[in-house]
Amino acid sequence: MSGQGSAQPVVALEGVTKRFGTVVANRAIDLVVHPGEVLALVGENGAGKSTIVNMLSGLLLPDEGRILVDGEPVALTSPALSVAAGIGVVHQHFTLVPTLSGLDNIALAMPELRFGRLNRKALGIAVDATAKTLGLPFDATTRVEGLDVAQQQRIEIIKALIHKVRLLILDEPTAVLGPDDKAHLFATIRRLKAEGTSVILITHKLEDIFAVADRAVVLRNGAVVANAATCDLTPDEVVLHMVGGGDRVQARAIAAGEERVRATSVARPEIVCSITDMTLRRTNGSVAVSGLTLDLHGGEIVAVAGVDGNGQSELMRVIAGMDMPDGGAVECLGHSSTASGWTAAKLRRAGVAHIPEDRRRSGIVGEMSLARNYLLRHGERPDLVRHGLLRDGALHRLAGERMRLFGVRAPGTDERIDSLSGGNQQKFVLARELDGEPRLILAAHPSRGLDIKTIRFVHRLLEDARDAGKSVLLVSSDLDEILQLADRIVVFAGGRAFGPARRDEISRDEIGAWIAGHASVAA
Amino acid sequence: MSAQAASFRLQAVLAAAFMVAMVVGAILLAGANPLSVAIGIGERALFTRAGLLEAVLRTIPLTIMGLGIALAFKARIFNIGMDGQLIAGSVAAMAVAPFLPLDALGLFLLLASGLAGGAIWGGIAGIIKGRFGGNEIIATIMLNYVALQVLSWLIRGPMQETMRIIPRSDPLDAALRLPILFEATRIHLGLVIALFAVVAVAVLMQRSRYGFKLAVVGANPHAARYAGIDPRWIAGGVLALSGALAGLAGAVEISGVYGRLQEGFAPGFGITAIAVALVARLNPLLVPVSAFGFSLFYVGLGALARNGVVPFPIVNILEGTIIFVFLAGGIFVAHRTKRVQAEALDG
Repeated sequence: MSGQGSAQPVVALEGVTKRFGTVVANRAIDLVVHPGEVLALVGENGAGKSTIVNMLSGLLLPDEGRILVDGEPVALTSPALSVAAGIGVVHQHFTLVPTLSGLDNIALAMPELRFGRLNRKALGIAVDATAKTLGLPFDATTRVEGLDVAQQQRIEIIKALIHKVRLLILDEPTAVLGPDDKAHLFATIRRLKAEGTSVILITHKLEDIFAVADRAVVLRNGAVVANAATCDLTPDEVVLHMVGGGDRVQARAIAAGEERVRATSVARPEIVCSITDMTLRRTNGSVAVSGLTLDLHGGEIVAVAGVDGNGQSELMRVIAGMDMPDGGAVECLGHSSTASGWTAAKLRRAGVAHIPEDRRRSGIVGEMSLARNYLLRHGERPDLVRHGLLRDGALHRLAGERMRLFGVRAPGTDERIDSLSGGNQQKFVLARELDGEPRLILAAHPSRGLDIKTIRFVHRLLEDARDAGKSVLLVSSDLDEILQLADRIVVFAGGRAFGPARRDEISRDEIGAWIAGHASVAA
Repeated sequence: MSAQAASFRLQAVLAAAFMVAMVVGAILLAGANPLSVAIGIGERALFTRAGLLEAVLRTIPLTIMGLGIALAFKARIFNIGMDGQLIAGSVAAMAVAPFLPLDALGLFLLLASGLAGGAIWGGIAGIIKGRFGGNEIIATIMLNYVALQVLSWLIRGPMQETMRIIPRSDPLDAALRLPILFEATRIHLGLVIALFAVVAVAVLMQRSRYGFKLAVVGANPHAARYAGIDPRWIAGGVLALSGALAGLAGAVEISGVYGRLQEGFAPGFGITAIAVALVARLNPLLVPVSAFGFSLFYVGLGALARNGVVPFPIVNILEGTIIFVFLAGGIFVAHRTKRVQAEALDG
């Protein structure tokens, strides 16, 4: 907050809008960064944070609005222009050559390299000087592949700062760091700030915001929903801004919740899936959630809320049989993760349907026809496959029928699935997964990226499935969706699970507190 | 996007043109007239009875092996080890031959042993890939050398002819030879076996659940795992299956053409089979056509080389060029259709 107010902003975005096809990634964004200010840019996956980074680093151009540097409008048409404007970026996924040393990696980023005029000795001295002023000791001679992530990040930061940088953008820098390295990084950020360098810190961790940032800007669905000094904010407020919750929506959610009371009363006690003391680790080995104990019953929707990346994806993959739990056990429909044979094929056969969070990557085979994609779940059905041979006629008939039932718009079942729009693809996945009387439906972000009409359709399907006695496990980062659909709610935050709590016994604020990592609402 | 496609297309055409120029240059350097070489190939292969029959004879193993490659490549498994699997199949067939009844059943069992031998050799690579996550390209290539050396030792040791003069095995009993189909030719029953294999593999790839699984694993391994198809099992299985076809080709060659085990009886067929399958665009029904095309070419050029018109390595150079031109052409066509589709969607 030092030097704010009358001072000219280093960088400003004015009414910036960016679209990808029909998806609006950024909607009329206004953003200013003052000299020596640390700005936290906060939001869920898909909220539009990366698009802003990419526009500032010269990888994307805005469709509308303008970017100003020192009050002058600029066109950042290339990364080189962005660097020339004094903007440095440390991307979330490092861009280092693993077989080169730290110094050589920095040398690669120097424009002099192209003309063969690079003085390595001088560069080494400059790098040492930068490292010393930042308090970032690093190993310049070891090959990068032999260094840990914290060391690699230091190289990235020095690589960015070796140019004259007035605004440093750090994209999710703390995601990979342990507590000590994190503290070190924060110290570096404070040092930069003291020297008058501005920093944009992109994060979805609340502790980061309150540890170093002067101001927080919260993005949701591509738009700025909050912009305030961190001293005027509480963690719970930030969370509520991230996951949504205007008055109108809240009213609707409460109304929907009251309607629910009747529906839940028919819930049957039959346990479909039972999770005991489960630990889940992320792909990088860190614990996402531990001590999770949860029973899923027929005739209810259990929703997992929380900021993305707290173990929700891992939970879905484990229950779908694609991964093993890293601790504890899960029993589903007669199969147990402690016995052999916890495989996706067996669980599917037992009646687990899975609407995956990334349908393009894993839910469909883009280059195959709709009919063949329908077979992905139903390859065992005797009316579709006999003696190992496909019965194409029956397959096309069935797929066509289901597509009509679910309103999938496509010229025919021979059409390649990647020629369909995202919404139609998702409807197709639902049509396929809900076929054949599944008993447990895993729905990960089932309405992400869809239009309102399709979202309503998806919600109705899940409610109908629940009313028909099926068990539904819903993962969503949209609190409104969860409040509207869930009978019971679990929250993953900070390595543990909160709940489960019955929807009618918990308020939005309590869930917000859980998502923020508190056991109860702060006074 | 369209500009990118255009530059890609240009590159493909340029590369192909460069290759053609190099080959023409090579033929000129060898002191021959490229045009007369081309005419010579056509004359020998297409317009002589001997040439045509020779080409048909060569089509048999190339078809069977090309089918195996098509299967494996469909699942994006690159089996470079067909030469080794072919040797394993022919060794297995010869090893069981002395114990077989001398009738049709014996002949059938001989071919089945070839199939099994190739499947085992391919299956070893399959275990390396599926169980231990090794690279199938390295594994299959290395197993080629192992097979080659084992064969070399066998025909100088335990399986050498009774006379112990030449490094080769004793001949097969006449009853275990594939019968000749047409009198005064060398075309044997293997032709029927090859055509049968075409139908079987076509059904497997295009109409069966297993073929569907292969295609899913090849197109999107994430979707395969999601659907409960284990890519590791598919990789291991398809290596054994494609090895089995190579082994069958080996047994067919031994039983149909050579009648005994010797070195170098199917030189480079494993690599040519890759070319055959790629040119056929992995479509099993086109594999025999592509195999026949390559056979004609070999026979024609082989005759010219024997007559001293061009040196023998030119055969290999030309083969490479054909594959290259074909693949470049494929890129050209693919990008063209994509552009047309994109324009149709925009409009």
